[in-house]
Amino acid sequence: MATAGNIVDDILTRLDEDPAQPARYTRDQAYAALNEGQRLFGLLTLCVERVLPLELPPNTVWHHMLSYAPDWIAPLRAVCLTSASTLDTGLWDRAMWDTLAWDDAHEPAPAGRYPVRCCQLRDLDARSRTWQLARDPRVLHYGMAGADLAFFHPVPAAAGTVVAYTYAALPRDVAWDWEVPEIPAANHQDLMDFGVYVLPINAGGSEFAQGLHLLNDFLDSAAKCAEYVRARSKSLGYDTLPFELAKFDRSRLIGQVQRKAATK
Amino acid sequence: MIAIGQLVEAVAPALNAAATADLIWWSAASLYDWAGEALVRICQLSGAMVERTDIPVAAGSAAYPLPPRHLAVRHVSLDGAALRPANVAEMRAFDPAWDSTAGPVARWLTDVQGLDTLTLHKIPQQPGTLSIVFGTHPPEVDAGSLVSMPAVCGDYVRYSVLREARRAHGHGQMTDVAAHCTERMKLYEGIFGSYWGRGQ
Repeated sequence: MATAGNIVDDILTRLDEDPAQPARYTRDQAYAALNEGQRLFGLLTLCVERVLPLELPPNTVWHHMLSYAPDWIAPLRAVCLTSASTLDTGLWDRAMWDTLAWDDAHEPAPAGRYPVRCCQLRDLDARSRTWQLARDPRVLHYGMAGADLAFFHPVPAAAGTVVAYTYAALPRDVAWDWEVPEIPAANHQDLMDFGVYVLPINAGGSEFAQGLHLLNDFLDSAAKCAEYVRARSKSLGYDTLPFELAKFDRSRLIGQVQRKAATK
Repeated sequence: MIAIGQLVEAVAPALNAAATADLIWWSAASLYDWAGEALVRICQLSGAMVERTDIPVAAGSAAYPLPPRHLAVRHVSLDGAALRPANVAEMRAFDPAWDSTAGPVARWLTDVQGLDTLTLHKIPQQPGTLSIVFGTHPPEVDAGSLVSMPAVCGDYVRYSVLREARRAHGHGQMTDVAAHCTERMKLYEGIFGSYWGRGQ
């Protein structure tokens, strides 16, 4: 495990700078590179998870998640914590006591923890045109529109319902030498690589081209970590899986500049 | 939340200036314009920014202006009841007099009058509240703008500003740095799209 100070020192040393008195780059720039690397790693792998206990205000279907969690990326799982429930299951607004739809319980449910299923707007529209008017202390479904607009169905008519949201978060930025980056310790070395690649972008030319293989190494490590997170997320039944980096064509990202530099 | 002023200032060292006030080949205003363009582009490509608005509906009136800066309508409901999307060709096939029929509202159309009007079918007979969920983009940005998008979108904007600055300096030519920034932007576009766009 490396501290932010160790990583920044390493980045500057590998760029032939004196970490105490860098000339071409500042320590602030090195910190910015480190934080950018952390954000990209977190975005590619969804490796940082947090739980947000969200007490739903009465009669409110729509919520902007960034106002609750500024580091929000995507939802992973939601669990409803409720004290009571008088759940009514229905299809096309008709009570449906003899059929299970979407695994909905069809009995008044006792107090406790219930999974909240992820769905899309069109699923809820197909279920009932008036789903936004449904009221129940037990939330059954949630979904997202865009990066942060979340909706719930049904919503409680009174306070007391809490949805515990497990969400993928951006790693916290580091600003001090003693801080430790939030991504897995095994990948702290990749932040050094990323910093050494990203700082010379300003200069361009051969120095920048020489460091591009480090971006490739960084993306390889992120892909490996994302693979692990994906397998884990699948087994946990999470609603969002990490981006499939294997399907992204890296040849232009890495090779184009290197080829150009080689022909000069 | 993205602080645009802070983000654009962070690009200055990459353009060989300590701050935007010291830029030689570029102006701070251009950098802010490019940042604004990048935000619009990412909203168009990934559908990252979605808002919801309520519009009062008057009896006898079927057409309503869409909110400013809307990119796409994602969901429409009237008094909490979802309406179905439709288009003019469909409606004509159903009923030649569709646009003059009054009754309970069940559908919405956006291809009746230009790009900024939402039309209800049938013509509402009583007042109500129309709720529209729509993809949008932030308004024009300046040094004091705070944009409510995930912080990582700021990295995309920074690469976009850097790319445009390099291209402007190279008289529109794609330098190696500009080409690389384009590819970095594509990576971000793919990720954002998978989490917030098609992936939903």
